Formats: sequence, C-alpha cells, structure tokens
Amino acid sequence: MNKDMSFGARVARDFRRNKWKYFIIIPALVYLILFSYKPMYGIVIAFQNFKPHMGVWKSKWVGFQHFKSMLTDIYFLRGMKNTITINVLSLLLDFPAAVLLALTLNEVRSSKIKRTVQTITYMPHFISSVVICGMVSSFCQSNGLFNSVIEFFGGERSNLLIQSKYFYPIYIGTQIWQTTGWDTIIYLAALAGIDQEQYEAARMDGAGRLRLMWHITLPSLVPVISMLLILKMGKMLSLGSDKILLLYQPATYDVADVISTYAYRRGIVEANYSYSTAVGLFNSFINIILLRVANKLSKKLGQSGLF
Amino acid sequence: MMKKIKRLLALALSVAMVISLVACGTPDTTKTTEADKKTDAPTQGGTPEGTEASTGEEETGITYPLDTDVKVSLWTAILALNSDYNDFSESPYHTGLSKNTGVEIEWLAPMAGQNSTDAYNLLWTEKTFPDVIYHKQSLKKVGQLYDDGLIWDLTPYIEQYAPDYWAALQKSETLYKSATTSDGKILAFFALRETDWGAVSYGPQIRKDWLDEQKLEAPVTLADWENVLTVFKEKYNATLGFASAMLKSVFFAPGAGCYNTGSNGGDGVFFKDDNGEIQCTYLTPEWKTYMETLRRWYVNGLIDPDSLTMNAAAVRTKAANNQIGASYGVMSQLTNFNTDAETNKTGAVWTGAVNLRTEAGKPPFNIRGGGGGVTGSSAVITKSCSEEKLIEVIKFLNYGYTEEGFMYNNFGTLGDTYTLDANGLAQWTDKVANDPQGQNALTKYTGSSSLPIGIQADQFLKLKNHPLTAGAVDLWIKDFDSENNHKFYTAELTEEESLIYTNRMANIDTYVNEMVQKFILGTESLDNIDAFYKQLETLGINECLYVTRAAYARYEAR
Repeated sequence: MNKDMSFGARVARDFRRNKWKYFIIIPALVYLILFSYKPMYGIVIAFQNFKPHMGVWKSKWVGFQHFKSMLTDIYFLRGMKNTITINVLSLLLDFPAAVLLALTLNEVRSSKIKRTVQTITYMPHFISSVVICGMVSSFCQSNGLFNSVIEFFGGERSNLLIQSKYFYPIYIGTQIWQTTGWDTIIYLAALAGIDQEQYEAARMDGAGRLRLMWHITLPSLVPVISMLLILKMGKMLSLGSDKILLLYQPATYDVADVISTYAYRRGIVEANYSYSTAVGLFNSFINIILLRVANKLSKKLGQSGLF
Repeated sequence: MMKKIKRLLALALSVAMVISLVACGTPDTTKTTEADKKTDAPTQGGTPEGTEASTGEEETGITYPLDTDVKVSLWTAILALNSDYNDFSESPYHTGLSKNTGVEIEWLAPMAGQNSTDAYNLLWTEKTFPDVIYHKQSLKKVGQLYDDGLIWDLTPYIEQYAPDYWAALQKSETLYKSATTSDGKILAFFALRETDWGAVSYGPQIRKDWLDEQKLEAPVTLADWENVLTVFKEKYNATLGFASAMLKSVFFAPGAGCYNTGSNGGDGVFFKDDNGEIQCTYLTPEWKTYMETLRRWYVNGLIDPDSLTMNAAAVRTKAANNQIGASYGVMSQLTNFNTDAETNKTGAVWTGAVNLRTEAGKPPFNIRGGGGGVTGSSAVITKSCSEEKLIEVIKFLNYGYTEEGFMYNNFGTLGDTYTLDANGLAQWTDKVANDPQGQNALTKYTGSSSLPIGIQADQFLKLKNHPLTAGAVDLWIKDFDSENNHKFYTAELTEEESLIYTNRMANIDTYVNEMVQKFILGTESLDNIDAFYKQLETLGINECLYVTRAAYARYEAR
C-alpha cells in the first residue's frame, strides 16, 4: 500500500505522524545549511581571480590556473611533505598515548586518585594555544627552563626553536601534553560499558591483570579506536596552523612550514584569496580520498567502517 | 561567502545588543551622527563666506568653516575613538573638526575588537559605501579601486577646490609623482609628512652610558660595531639583540654597502645602483660579505641567539635586564628602553647611532626616503558620494592641508591643548601632558597617534616620543643625501606584470628570509652561495627583476 503512494504523500504522512521530531531537527539543520552547505558555493573563487568588492559573480574566471601554479610550487610540495610527516608522527605517538592513559586509568582502584589524575590531565586542553606557545617559546630561549635542564646534565645552552631538529619533539611533545587527557574521555566512556561478567569469568579461568587488559579491555576498545582512526585519516592533510604559526621561524621552515601556514602566508598576508581557496579545495579532495581508503581498509580488516 | 555570514552574525549581534540596551537608551556605539553642531559653528573666527563654486572664480582660498549643509559620512580606523568616550559626539577632536570645517560628519568605524583590515575589506563588499574612506591605502590600492569604478577621479577638481592639497603636492617632484598615478591622475588625499624626518622611523640603537664608560666612540662602520660589541660582550656580557622581524629590514646592511637584509613582501629586494640601473640585492658580492659578517658575529656570541625568535616585547625585557647593549628597531622601542631605565633606575641611557656606512665620512649606502613625504595612508571619495556633494567633500578634505588644519590635526586647539614656545614650536599644555592615559590620550585631541588626513608635523613626533628618541632620528637621517639615494619608485604594475611578480615574489620572500637565518646560524654554509643564486633563479628572480625594471622605466618616462 505504501508503495502506491507518491513520495510527496509519504513525506506528508510521515510529517504528520512525527512532526515534533522534525521540529527538533530544525536547529541542527539550519546550522548545517548556514555553516556547511551555504559557504560551499564560495569554492568557485578557486577558479577565479577573486576581488572582494567585485563579488563572486563579477570576478574574472581563470580556470585551473591556481591549481597549476600550486602543484608546480616547491613550497607547496614541501608543505605537503611536512604536513604528512607531522600527522604521521602524531598518529604514532599522540594517538596511542590517549589509549594508554585510558587503559592505565582503568586499572587504578582508588577513584579519588583516578579523578585527580583525570582533572590534571584535562587541564591543558583549556589553555589557549597562544598561551601555551608563549610559554614554550620562553622555555626554549637560551636562558629558558629547558636549557637550564640541558645545562644541568652537562649540555650547552642554545635557542631550541631555531634548530630544525628540535621542532618535531617540541611540537609533538606539547601536543601530547595538551590533548592526551581530553582524548581519553571517549575511551573511558567505552571502558565503562564493558560487561563486568567477562572479567569475572576470565579471572575464574586464572587470568592476571595484564591478560585481562589484553584479552578483554583492549578488544572492547577496538571499535572506538578504529572509528577515531578513520576520522583522523580524513584530516591527514589538514593541520591546525595556529600552534605552528606561533612556533615556527624562517630558520625552521624546512620542517615546520605546513600547508595551512603556507596558505596563510599566500592567502591572508598577501590577500590572494583565490589561491588559498584552491589550496583548501585540493586538500579537501585528498582528505576525502584518504577517508574512503581508511574506511574500506577498516571494513576489510573485519572492523565496522563508518559508512 | 564567509564574510556574508560574518556580516549577518555581526548584524544579528548588534541587533541583539541594541535591543538589550534600549532600556538604558544607549545608542549603538559604532555609528554616531553629529547633529546640531552647526548652531555654534559661525561664532568661530571669520565670517562664513559663500565659497560655493557656482561662480567658479574663487580658487584663491577656501574659508573655513564652510557655509554648507552637506553631511559627510567618514569611515576610518585611524582617527579612532579614545576609550574614554562612548560616542564620537563626546570626543573633542572629532566634534572640533566638525566645528572648524563647518561640515556635519557622520563618523563610522570598525566595531570594537574587529580587525581594521578585515573591516576595511568588508566595506567594499557592500552595495553602498561611506562618502569618504580613510585607511592605509597605497597608490597601488587606490589605483585598483579606481579601475574597479569604486572611487571618484579627483584630478579635475583638486587645483580649484583643494588649493592647499594641490600646493602641498607641488612641494617636490618625487612627492607629486608618488601621489599621482602613472597617467597623472589624483585619486586620493594622501596623508603627508612635513619632511623626510618623520619617514625615518627606525635604525641602530646603543647603550650610550656604556660607550662613555669604556671611552668608545659611537660606531659608524661594521668594523667599529664589531669592536664595540666585543667590548660590550667582555665587560658587560651583553650582546646585540633585536626582534626577528628586523632581519627583513635594512638592518646593518649599509655597513657592507648593500641595500637590505631579508625581504618584506618584496620590499628591499631591488635597489638602484650608481648607474641608475635596477639590481637585486641578494645577487651582489656585498650582500655575501654582509652575511659573512653577521655569521661571524653570531659565532663569536656578539648576537643574542634568541634574536631570531624574539618579538619586540622580549627584546624590551632583555634590554631592561641589561642583557643587550645594542639593538636595531623603531622609534618607540628606543622610547620604551629609556622609560624602562628611568622606571627601574638602572642608569641605562639608550641613544640612536648613525646608519652604518662602508667608510667613516662617506654617506650611508641608502636611507629609506619617504616618497618625498607621501605615506601609505589616504582618504578616497567613493562613488556613493553624489556628484553634487563631491565638491563640498573635496573642500572639507582640503582642510587638513591648510595652515589651520595642520595645527589642529597635530596639536589640537591653541591655548587648550597646546601653546607656542619662544621658537614658535607647539608644546602640550598640562591638560595633555598630565593626562593619565599618557601617549594614548593624544587620540582625544589630535584624532590619531599616527597620521591625520593632512600633514603630520615633525614636532608632533618629537613630542610623542622620548626626548632621546628625537635625537636618534636626527642621527638616523644624518648625511642623508638624496643624490645617493638608492631607493626608486615605479609606476603601477599592469595586471599581467602583477601576476608574474606576486606569485614569484611570495616564494622568493619565503626563501630569502629562511636563508638569511640559516646563513647566520650556519645551517647553510656561505661557501655554497652559488646554490643560493641558482635557487633564486629557479624561483623567478629574473622575471621579477625584468618586471620591476619595466615599471621603473615607465615611472621615469613620466
């Protein structure tokens, strides 16, 4: 009977039945339309020589010119290399750190200690990047905290931020310090949902704490981990520029200049909006591909994908 | 697109604000009309004469206040509202300007907390504009606005209706050329400087008390500096410290006989050599020697290693802690150093030092000229201003270039905010000098602590800065010889040229600034300078040079 009805009629009937549910959707829908879909038509400026006062429709069309000059630009390619390097490093070091911390916290018996540790590790998340980078910069100065430590162990004082070899340790280190506590929240939530009977049964079979962690806790976390991993893959080419902008120097451009800082210099500082949009569009394109690949892989490996 | 949304948001926010404020009756602070000021206008000196252009024969001078009922909307972030006031109708400078010119002004400004450049860019996306927009707008920018049909061409009117601006433009050929387009159009009222004095706002800075203590002469050449810095290092464990951005400026380059250190948006890359030929700074052998010198200074610990990451605030701290004995920077840095020394009673005395030269007695290789006094700020009249109103608006803008307007814009009102001393120079009255806001209070009485729509007085800058700073500027421009000026001016680039230039220059900028730091740090060896030249070529330095030469030739041909 349903199939005989036209699409419109079906929608109308569904609406009558569930009108309050539709009503609840409205704010989210408005948000998506305004901030995610409506701005999309601005993408066309990637194919123009956009001038703000002439608007989107009057600016001159130039086709793929910006993409061509982008892909032949050595600094764009260098930015891409550095973006990927930093993201891979954070995938290897930053990402497991949260899982480890969550697993460790899960083993802590005293809820008082657990709560205290959690609160302390969350805290850096609420400090603004500007403040964090300001602190890091002064710690890295030749008369700063880090150098006092280095000197204590017999090293030489030097400014750490102008040496390329220290950039990744500094960047990833602050990243871990700032985000790990916050990232554990979702894992702790998943851990709370594990059926306690599984543990009891395993204990009866003589499993120790490490065994329990390896055979019960970790496998229960795998769906969450793989979901977060897929989401992270989708952001492989985008990287927040704020911390890098605050920490990099011309002397460390070779390792620290990433796509977003490159786009910032070209787009905002030099007001070349079209070029920056082209860079952004290209990034999104690659990101979508990576996201699909990761999703496929995850399904192949027996985990449920995102979609 | 995002901008539209931002604007919507801003609108929604301001609506919300207005609604929430209605109860208290506070008006929206971003927009203020100055009504009814005309009632007391004619009492101020001079009888209001009909200077209306109907006869077209009265170009001998314009009498202020104007007899007009024209209302001008003026958008500016430069003539900002002092934080003491909620509204332009409370601000002495802004109301005074209406009174003096006889023109009712609707002041428009970016919203509190909004970035002025963003606000300015958004202005041009609107359908209608304020009558007058005063902002950082270079000749190039103004030319683009005109090409896009957004602003009036003022050329036919200036001589007749803005005689004082016209006269100011005639002061020198450089000035006239720097304020008009290559086809001779006058498109804007540029903020001018009284002399080149005000244009030279940065240079070397040194601890005078230490020099005296060690019985050292003020350094002039690179060798002198090396000597002085070595002594400072030995005796005081102090170094040469500066903000990292300074490596993009002239810095110590003239000491080696070259033009600039790094590059700042393409600035300082090219210079005019002794034969009047345009050359690239980095490709000269002098530049290599210069880099070698900086490298040696760094190795010997004469340069503070943190200089490559420091901002102005960090430099200030180091100076206050006696960690640096020499620096390079802007006027206000010197003022800060000396005020800090006085507050902390450290006994430090910072002064300027002459710009470096290759040999004592020779003029320095170059000094930044000010385009004959033309600055990068200008007021344009938009196409939203009707043609009937245009002439009145031009007359209004001319005010800043008159004798009276000059004094008003720089010093406020005679007797109230300034008096004239025996030499005829303006001095603040106690009301200004003792204002709890200090320097910031100047916006109350002069509209701006930087540039007015008109001519900035040298005396204004001298009053604004520490007394030792004024002496520093005298040193920085010492032996300034216009014949020896390696700075040059170009005509605007064509669209095609500009595309070639900006795309390549962006990467050259990145590359050079990266390499300057690496040469100094030693991560790149100067023995490999050929690789550096080669890379510059790959990045398109020759195309940029070609474009610049062509634009220079066009400028000279005018």
